[in-house]
Amino acid sequence: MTPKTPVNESINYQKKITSYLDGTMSEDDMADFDAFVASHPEFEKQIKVKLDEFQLLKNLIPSVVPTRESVQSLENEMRASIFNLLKEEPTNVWDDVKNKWDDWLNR
Amino acid sequence: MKRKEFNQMVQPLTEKLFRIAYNLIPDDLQAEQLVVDGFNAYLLKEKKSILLRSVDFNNRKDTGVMRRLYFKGILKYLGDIGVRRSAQLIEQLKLTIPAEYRPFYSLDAKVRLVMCLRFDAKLSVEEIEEILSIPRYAVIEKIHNGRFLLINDLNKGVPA
Repeated sequence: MTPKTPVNESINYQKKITSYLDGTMSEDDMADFDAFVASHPEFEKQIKVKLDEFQLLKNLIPSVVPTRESVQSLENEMRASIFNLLKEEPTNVWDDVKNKWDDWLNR
Repeated sequence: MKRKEFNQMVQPLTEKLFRIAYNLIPDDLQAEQLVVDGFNAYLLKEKKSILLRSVDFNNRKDTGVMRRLYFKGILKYLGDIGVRRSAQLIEQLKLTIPAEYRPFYSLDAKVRLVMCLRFDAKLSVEEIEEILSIPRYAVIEKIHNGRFLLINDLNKGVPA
């Protein structure tokens, strides 16, 4: 087992930076990570640089908000696709009736 | 999973999918069409697995995990179609792109897709690797190239 020295500890947290930035870190790890960051100013600076760069790049990428009409039309198209393409193949008459009944309910 | 449940599952993804499509093809109608085509391709290919899966909407964590799974699944098709379509359309659309986003749209379509999955959709490198079916080093390389070109372009505009 690797001894828990300050250097090893720091390396462990360094490895976690990526999951911290992309939001895949678990809540428990997040609390632990935040506590470590708050108690290590050097590490905090390093995280801040990374976060600033992440934000800068995010700002350089267009973040278009679709109009209400666009969203509505897309939702309608997607709903129609689901109801047209996501049908169970009928294996008997009963399935056929069931599909038709579903279609009627979801008109 | 029933069709109505699946619809409920994917409706909240509409805006996110549109945004990613727009980052590939900067035109409202074309982006909308890209989302629909990617979604249809996904449905046709994954129909069986969707119908077999069940979801408990009362379990928020379970619902969240499944929604993310569908999001990534749809992106696989949307990305594939979008990258090819973007290569054909981007030249025609260049003049309509706002000046501040021209550096972004001058990047290669696949680099653009990786950049927006990483920095806008906040997906991890592993998830992008899975979506695009390319090795991890290729994802990292695209992120580095995109970052270098965008920041370099930004620095060019800053007077010394």
